[in-house]
Amino acid sequence: MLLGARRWSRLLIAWIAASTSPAIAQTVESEGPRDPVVPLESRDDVAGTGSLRYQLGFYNHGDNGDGNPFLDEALTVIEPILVFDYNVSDRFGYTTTVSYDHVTSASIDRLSNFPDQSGASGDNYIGADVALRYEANERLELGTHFGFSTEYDYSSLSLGVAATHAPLNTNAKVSYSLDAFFDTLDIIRFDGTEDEGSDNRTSVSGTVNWYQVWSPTLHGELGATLALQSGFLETPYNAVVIEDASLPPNPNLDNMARGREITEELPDSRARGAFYGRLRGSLGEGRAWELNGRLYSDSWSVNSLTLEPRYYRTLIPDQLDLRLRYRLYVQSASKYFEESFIVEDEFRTQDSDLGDYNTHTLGFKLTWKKSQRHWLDLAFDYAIRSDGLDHIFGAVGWTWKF
Amino acid sequence: MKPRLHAALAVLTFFALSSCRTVEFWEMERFADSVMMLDEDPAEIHFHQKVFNSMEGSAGGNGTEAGGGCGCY
Repeated sequence: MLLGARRWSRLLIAWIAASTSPAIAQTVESEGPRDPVVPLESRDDVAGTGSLRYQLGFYNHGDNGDGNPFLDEALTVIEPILVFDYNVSDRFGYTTTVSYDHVTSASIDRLSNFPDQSGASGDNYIGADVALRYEANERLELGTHFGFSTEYDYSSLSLGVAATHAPLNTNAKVSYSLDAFFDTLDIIRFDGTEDEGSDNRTSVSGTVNWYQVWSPTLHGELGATLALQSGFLETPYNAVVIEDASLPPNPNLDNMARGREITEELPDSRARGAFYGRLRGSLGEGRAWELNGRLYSDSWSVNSLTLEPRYYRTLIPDQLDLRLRYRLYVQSASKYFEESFIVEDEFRTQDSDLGDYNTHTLGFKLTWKKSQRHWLDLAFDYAIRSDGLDHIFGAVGWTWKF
Repeated sequence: MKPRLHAALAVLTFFALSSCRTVEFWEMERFADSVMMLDEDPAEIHFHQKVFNSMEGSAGGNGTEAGGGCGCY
């Protein structure tokens, strides 16, 4: 035995975890619909063809005292999004994405109590992205994208380049991408003060993704991302409560605790690494399984594992497809996170999203193909979070191919 | 960290070895089945990234989502 049984089982678990998903999704996001099977040369990028997609997303979570006990974290987001994809020629195409978020959150309501400003992260978000792709030859595609998004106290400029190479006789595709985000934030604190002006945040990430056909009924992908962030990485209006029994109940706190609020403080840099992959296998015509997963670790000591098995089934041939999924997400707390503070640490946060918790999500998606060119879909997910911040999200969409 | 590095290397090796057997073009018929398509709808991906960015401390470490969104609702 070269390796002990424990080590083998550890490797097996890691391999399953690596059969991830957020996978090629990210690298292909800006490249439009395509045949994922045969590298580059066989896809249907024909001049004058394209697609238009409209989707309305909905996301909600309430707060009945769970999560951060000092803060009402209730949130509702409604997001319409439009994606237009067009092949200008057989080799050159572009994708335009425009989205709008209407946000109703307790953090905005809370800050509206203060006279100096109307909201925190803003109740309206607008984002646009344009991605260009060029097929240099049958085995090499190049791409770039640029985007802009803005909301009340925040704006972001993004740039990226990508290359996808399909080595000869390998049934594989290897993608490389490099992306950068340049964000500007107005620093509006929990008490409405804005005297710190604005600050910047820069994020750079590199991703390598490997797609592989393994057998006539099995294919998958594997990838890794390294991201580096610097600048103002806190959530400006997040507060930390220093508890003090000698103080009267604080009316600004959701639970009227005795304590005083101070600003959240986090380091100005963060290195983040993710290792992901997924496998999709056929169970016969119209039936397939998938297992995807992701391992994540960063310099703030947040570690996470995501595992997501899926089942796909065609309910009515050429008309109705079903996707079922279960998603397990396990996260360890950042070293700067504490549920309760009694002294002012240099770095501190009570943001429950940086805490210790796990989430179980169940969801389905139905796709109704009205014709070869039109289809409608409906997706819904319900998530149970161990710290009580359960949430639901779903979307309805319409796609037209021309 | 070491066990994770070993696990990552093992997975990479597994993937590398998997490419030793070429699946011929005519054997790929099953991949044309709609349930076998790996590509996901870009709008759905965008929306899910928004949801996870606003709820998970480790979201945003993949590909294009390193930054580019406050997500601080």
